[in-house]
Amino acid sequence: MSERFDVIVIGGGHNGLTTACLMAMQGERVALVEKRDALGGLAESVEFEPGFKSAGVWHGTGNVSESVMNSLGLKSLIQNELPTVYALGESGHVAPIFGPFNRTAFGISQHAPSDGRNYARYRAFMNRIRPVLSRFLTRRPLNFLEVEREAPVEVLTRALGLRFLGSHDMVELLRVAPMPVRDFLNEYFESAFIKGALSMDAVLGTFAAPRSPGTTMNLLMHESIAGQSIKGGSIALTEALIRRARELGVQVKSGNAVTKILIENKSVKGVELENGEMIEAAAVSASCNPKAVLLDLLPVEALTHTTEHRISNFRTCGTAAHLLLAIDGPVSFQGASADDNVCHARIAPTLDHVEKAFDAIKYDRFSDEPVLDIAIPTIDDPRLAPADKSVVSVLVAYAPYNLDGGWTDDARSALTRKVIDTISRFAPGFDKKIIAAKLSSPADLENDYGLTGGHLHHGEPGLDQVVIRPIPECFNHETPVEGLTLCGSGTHPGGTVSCMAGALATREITRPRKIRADVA
Amino acid sequence: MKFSNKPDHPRYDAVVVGGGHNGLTCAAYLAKAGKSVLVLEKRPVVGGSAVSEEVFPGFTYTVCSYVVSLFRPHIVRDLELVRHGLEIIPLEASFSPLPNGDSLCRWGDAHRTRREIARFSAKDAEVYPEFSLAMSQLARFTKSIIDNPAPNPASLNPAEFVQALRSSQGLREANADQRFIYMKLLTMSAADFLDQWFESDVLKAPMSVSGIIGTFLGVRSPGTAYVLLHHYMGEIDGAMRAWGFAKGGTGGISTAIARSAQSYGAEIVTEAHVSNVIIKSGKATGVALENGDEIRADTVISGLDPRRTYLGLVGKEHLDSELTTQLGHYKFRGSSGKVNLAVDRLPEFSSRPGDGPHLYGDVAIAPSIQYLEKAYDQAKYGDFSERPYINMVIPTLVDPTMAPPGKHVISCFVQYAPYDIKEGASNWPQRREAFGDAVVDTLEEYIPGIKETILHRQVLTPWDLEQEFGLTEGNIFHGELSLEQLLYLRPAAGWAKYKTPVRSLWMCASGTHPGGGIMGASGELAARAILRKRAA
Repeated sequence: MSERFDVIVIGGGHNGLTTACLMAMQGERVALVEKRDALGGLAESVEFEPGFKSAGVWHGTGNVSESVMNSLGLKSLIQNELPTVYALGESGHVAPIFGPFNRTAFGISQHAPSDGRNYARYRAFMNRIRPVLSRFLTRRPLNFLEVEREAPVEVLTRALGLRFLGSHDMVELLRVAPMPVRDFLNEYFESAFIKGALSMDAVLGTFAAPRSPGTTMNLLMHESIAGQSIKGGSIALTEALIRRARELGVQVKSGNAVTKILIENKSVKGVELENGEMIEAAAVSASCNPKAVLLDLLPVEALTHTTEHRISNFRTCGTAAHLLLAIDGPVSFQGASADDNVCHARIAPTLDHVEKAFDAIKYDRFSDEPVLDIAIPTIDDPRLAPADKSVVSVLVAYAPYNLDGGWTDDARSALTRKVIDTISRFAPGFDKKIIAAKLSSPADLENDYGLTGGHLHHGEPGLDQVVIRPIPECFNHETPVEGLTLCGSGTHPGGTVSCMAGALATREITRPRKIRADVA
Repeated sequence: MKFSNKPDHPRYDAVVVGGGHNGLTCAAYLAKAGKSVLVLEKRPVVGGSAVSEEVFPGFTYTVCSYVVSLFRPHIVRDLELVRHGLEIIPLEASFSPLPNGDSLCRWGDAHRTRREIARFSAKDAEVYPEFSLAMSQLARFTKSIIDNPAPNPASLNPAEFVQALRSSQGLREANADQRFIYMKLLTMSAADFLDQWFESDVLKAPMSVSGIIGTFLGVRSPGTAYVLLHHYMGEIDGAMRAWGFAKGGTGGISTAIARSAQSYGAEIVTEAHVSNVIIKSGKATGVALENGDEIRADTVISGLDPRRTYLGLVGKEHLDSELTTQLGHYKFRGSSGKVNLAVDRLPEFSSRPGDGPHLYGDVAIAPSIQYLEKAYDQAKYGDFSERPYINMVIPTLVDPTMAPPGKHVISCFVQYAPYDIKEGASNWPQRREAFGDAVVDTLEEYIPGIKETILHRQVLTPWDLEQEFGLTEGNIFHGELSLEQLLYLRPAAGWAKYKTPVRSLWMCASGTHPGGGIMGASGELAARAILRKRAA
């Protein structure tokens, strides 16, 4: 006899955990199935070298939704302090590009006074559009493909929300959103390294570069969710979510992959695990990639030809690698003072650097001069490494999923070498301090984390895949199979650690069941 | 066609600055409505970029624009252009030679095209008609957008709402599946979009290029898929067909519109250099010529691009800072050049030797998506492409009078040639011949021996297009056709309806909605807006 639950959540990343907790809070009996041995997904802390632990692949928590934390009862994790991100430029230029306003504006103005002034203008614009974008990111999306079927009140409220920006900001938002981020940043800033570093928020992990139209939208979304962070970073977040799940009685089955979603009469019936075990439930919510769910876990006959065609065209080509380094001693960047205490920095000296780094992946090569998002989690959490040692976590752009010649060990060490050389140019002596290095290519990320295509966002955040994510049939976390929902980053509102997709999905898990109950 | 070089009268109802095809269209509509109209053109010929000129004795080139597709059929009827000599001959084929000696030719005949495609992919051959059908359906929805002024979403005026309903009519009729594809077209890259349908690079590459023509983007840049639709929007004689040549070259269109305008009483003066619009207390009252002459008019209409209109004819002092900022953000960055060749015999492609129907269409040197991306990558950092995308047509096959008997002219549209080369735009003249050589060298790979057949060569870099034709930064569309510069944002928010902040001054060219290509739509919509205003 197989076990029975009310809800099965597939995947124990931050979104899966959020969904599991929120459903359990509604009194449902929830099972959480995770393929890896530990929970946390891309935010899981991994011991990559004896004594050295990572803070996850996604090392930032600046996007975590405050409202979701509130509803999970994890409000205490939120701190209103913005983590400072630094841009590193050639010849020792260092400036904060994100963080507490006054310090950031001051830091930027040190390099070009006009940039300081324009940063104030930039932030003011972001603050004004924040309500509209955060409404988009924290609510059920409207299906404008069938806008006639949406409640007129909903449509009107959203339209008015946009209109209430005032005609100037509304037109400005509509104008800049589809723009290449390069043009947008050029309208504001002078300093090349500041623009380069800011552009990474728009393009990191995507198949796009600063000259790609639509990338401004990504920057706006990023800037408008960011506002607070998690005390203790991704490790604290993952620990808290796991603790909460256990408190709420969520049954965790880790080290066990789901191999099949079972269907009966077009409704979901349960899942089958790798070890042959079956679990039954009338509701299954999958936080893994929608493409994997629909194409790998469902029986072929569950999808129409059109749906199959559409989901296989969901773009999931990963473009970033993750490098973990164990370092002897602290890391000091040239030009940064001890006060700066740099624990998050970016190396993208100019917009053209980012663009050139991107060019390589179009031809299935990795960048000769990659651009980097560097975190040093040991500064906030010294437990991650032995005393006087550091962990450096680097997201490396760009590295193609399909590398010409394949991701061999030689290819991995060649890219590792390039990253180390690049960092050493900005942190002299860095290369001498390396104890160990572990590079995960997009292909490795796919293998290790089940990340389809190695795409960190579970799917390209191009405008088309942002407004309808992932496909019309799976709009609003639903799927063509009754009872099967999607709760991962491949659904609205998309990637990075925000927990929002997981939270929004819970409404859709509950809704049809309520309707059914009413009918009965 | 001869024009006078001095206006007959000191005063007109309307003066149009710039005799490009939009300026002429606007003038013709106004004249037809009974207004006294004067068109002032700087060059000795009218047509702007839609001109045919005898650059070398005996050889007439379609100097800039070279094919017609989107010219609005109702304008042809309204202005009786056929009676005035307009004749458009549909292109027979779209031919793409490959470096390996093979080639793909898409024909007017669907079955023949499928057989051709099947040589590369049976699956693609099967999908091709399905794709064409889907695109043609979507193209119909676009018409309501380009045939109406762009509604302003920020306005609370009920009239705007009515206009929005009219523009969106096509999309409102569409079903959810069609809207999904439409949304994808608006936002995806041409290469990604085509990847969803086809597998063969040989087919995808020449199809994808329509998305990049005239823009500084690559086939992998999001937003380039949209222009694919334009290929299915082409209407000649009201029939949905692809592209065509005008008899006598593209200048044939301009000549027909000019004749039509004259028949309604419009006056056209060439070699008239307008220095500025005369503005008195915020109102345009006429134009001043460089020779000191002044011409009074109730309405002044600019057929120049937005930068030339506002910063050249009007002057910053008449504009508020908001508009000046917007104009500063408006992007031109021309990306293409033109190489026109006179040859003493028909080009012979190694992949398809001899004369044949494949030459009676357009020839695309676009062998693969990677080839096109490499061409773009070079341009991004300030070089012209060593191996560019070339779109070639041989107008003399359709109209043999354009060259001496047995000889031909070849028109090559070439991308990428960035206006801002790293040496600086004004150094283009020193790079001009190298650019021409890159084009000829590229052609030589597909047409061995073409070098020996060349009698004359005219190379137009983006710099030349700016100097000679007044196209700012060499942009052939009067500003990029990117999402942030379309509809109510073309050329600037609040001033997208042909009106300008200077009273009685209007705009009518490609820098206004819907812009781009030889469409005539901007000219017509501007004329209608002006007539409505004056009637009110």
